[in-house]
Amino acid sequence: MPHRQGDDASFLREALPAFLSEAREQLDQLEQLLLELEASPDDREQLDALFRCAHTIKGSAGLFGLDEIVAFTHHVETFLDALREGTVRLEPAVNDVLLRCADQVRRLVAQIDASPPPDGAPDDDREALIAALAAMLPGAEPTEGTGACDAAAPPPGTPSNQTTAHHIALHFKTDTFRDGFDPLAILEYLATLGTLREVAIGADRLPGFDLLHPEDCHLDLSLVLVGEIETAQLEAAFELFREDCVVCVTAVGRGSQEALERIAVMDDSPRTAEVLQPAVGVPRPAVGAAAHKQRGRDGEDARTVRVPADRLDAVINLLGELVIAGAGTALLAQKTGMGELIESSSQLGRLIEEIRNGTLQLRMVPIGETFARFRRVVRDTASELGKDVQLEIVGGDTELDKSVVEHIADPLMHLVRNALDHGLEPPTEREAAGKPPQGRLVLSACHESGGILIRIADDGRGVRRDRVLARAWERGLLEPGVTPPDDEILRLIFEPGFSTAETVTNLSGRGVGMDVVRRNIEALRGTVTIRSEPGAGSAIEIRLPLTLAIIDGFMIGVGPSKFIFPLESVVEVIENRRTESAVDARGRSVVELRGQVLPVVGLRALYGLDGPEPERSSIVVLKASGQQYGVRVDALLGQHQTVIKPLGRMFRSLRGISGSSILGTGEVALIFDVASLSQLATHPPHPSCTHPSVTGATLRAAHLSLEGQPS
Amino acid sequence: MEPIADPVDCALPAEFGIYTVAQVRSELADALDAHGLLAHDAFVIDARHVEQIDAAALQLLVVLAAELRRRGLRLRLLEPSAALERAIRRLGAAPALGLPPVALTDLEDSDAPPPR
Repeated sequence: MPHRQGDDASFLREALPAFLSEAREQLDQLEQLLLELEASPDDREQLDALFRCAHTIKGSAGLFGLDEIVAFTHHVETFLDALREGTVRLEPAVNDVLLRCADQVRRLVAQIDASPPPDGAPDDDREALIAALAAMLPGAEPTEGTGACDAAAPPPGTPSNQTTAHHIALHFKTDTFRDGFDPLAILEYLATLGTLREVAIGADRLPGFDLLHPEDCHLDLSLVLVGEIETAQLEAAFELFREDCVVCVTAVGRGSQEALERIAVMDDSPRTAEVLQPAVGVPRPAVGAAAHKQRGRDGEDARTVRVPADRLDAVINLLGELVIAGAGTALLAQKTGMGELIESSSQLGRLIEEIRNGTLQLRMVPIGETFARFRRVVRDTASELGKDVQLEIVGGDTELDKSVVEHIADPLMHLVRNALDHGLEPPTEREAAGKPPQGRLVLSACHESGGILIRIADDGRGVRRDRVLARAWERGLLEPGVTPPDDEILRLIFEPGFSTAETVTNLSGRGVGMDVVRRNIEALRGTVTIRSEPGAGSAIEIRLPLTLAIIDGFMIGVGPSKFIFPLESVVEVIENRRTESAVDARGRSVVELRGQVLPVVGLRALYGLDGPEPERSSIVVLKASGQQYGVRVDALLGQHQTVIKPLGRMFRSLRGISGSSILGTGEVALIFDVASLSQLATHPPHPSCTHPSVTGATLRAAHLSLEGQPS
Repeated sequence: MEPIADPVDCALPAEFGIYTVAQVRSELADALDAHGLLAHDAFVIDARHVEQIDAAALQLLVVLAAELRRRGLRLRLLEPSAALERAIRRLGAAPALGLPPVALTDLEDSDAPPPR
């Protein structure tokens, strides 16, 4: 069924956004590979991947008739091919040109976004880059002949939906045999679909006899399947084998009809295989493209499905409602006292919990992708500033919610730039200070008590307390002459209107201060702290919740109020013995726990809650920021699936509380932010912080407002 | 059974596949070493008994053939079984094995007797 022209046009228009996003991903990856290859310029696998990136961009651009991209990327591709063949080596200068080429392609892609594909004259810049690429190649390279591309993507407009022949290239993975998978079986299967012609083994990947591990698969196959079968049908058939082999199916379209006829004529000639050697040669880049397509789509070799984020969000919102409704049902079931009903509702509860975990997992992405973006930033920024900086990334596979990742990228970018600009010194200054000339910047991420800890550490000059103080006095952030404790001096950096840079460079000092960074992080229910050693460097630590939606909570009661701690931060629960230690006005005391002194805060005093202290109370031991502390509570109400609802603007300033949750009964429970609760308990109240009595009133208000609602 | 001109260097097992390729590879390696001392240029493999074969086995043969070419030898499969013939044909391995390509087309649609 041949495509009508109009269908094609509308299909292409609809598919264009997908192309743009894929092209950008490919460009990101290309850039990433270039940067990684700086350290290991001879890594064949990465060079191959590099080539595939360019090849895929070119191939899909061709499909959309984006001739400018095709024309330019072709030169890049040719060059990358030479790189992977080893005729050119990836010197730093070469790398620079290639990075600029990637920028150029990015610009071309951006043009499509803003306006219809431009077909004006190529810029000088582009010409210069093409010339630079050509100059680096050993001997002149022909710029015509994009045979490889043709094989990968049939030219637009080719009515290739149903043809009499398909060229099929199969690239098997090393573990194919061990996975119990026999390429021979595929061929037997294909033989049932039509006539197989010109089956040939690609010898490129075959090792020598002495090096062969006979259980590894090194086979590439190429063949022509003649028969009335649709391309889509064939591709669907190969879905089964996608795990073990990369498949590239190309309809031998009308353009190639002649070739097909030649194949038919040559069929009986003994030299067929020899003549058709290109049939093995040609698909190799095509196989590469297919391999890459698969890899590019699937992250790293794993199969994935792309789902629009808003659909996922809708599911997660519904899930929140489901959790609340489930809790309500469980409560009702408890009231009836019917054993079977309770049993079945608790089973339902378990299932909901599993669905919840599974669904939230869907939105988890590794933070490494965000970190990786900084390689280029660090490289370019450092060289702009005349500094030599090595970026280390640790824990890139730590996962967190996509919505958190999206919001953290900008603050991180600012912090990284800040470290490069203010933290790390120029090489001469470093040497004078007895440090290695190359500065180190470490971006790391790890899970810590139900959240993620992101650390940006440098070994630069550290924060100059005297300058911070001088600035704070000057800006009126502190009474002149007052010197607060060290950690408070450091915290001043995050105050609005603070900047210590003596000269405002074009990197930092763009009006976006550290206060904006802090605000952004706090909006994510996160906290940011800084540690700094003068002369030895600084570390900024960002703690973020893993997800913004649902957590496992541990519910407690104080008087009539209910509160929730994130379960991950609860270490244990102990009985509160009447201690000798005095309780101060803010409910703070200490208890002895297995030979250690444990500081304890009382919520009643801290938040000015009503009601007398009960006869018996418990202490919930929490861990936050590497230390433990206890919280005195009246009642332990157990584990609770907690759907986090935002507190609303009015209660934004509430300290120690990160959100609220609606319980099955319709009551509201406030969720503690364990880290900021400990800060609140340790430090005297900040002028800007809400007074505890207000908090008590707030709680009452929240309870009242929901009392009339059905449960 | 027809008379054999050259001595057999190695014999393939009935089950020639992923479970036996390691064993066969080491036998072939030994046979190659032994053959180095002989004067004739054909490396003869007794292929009569192959009943089951997979792509791993054929890959081994293809790699062997390349090694033989490097040493100036040629591969001769002695009376390849129908299963082996069929697999070679399916995989288009004849050229890589240095076997006459005629075998490919001869066998396209029937299980014809092995070539000369």
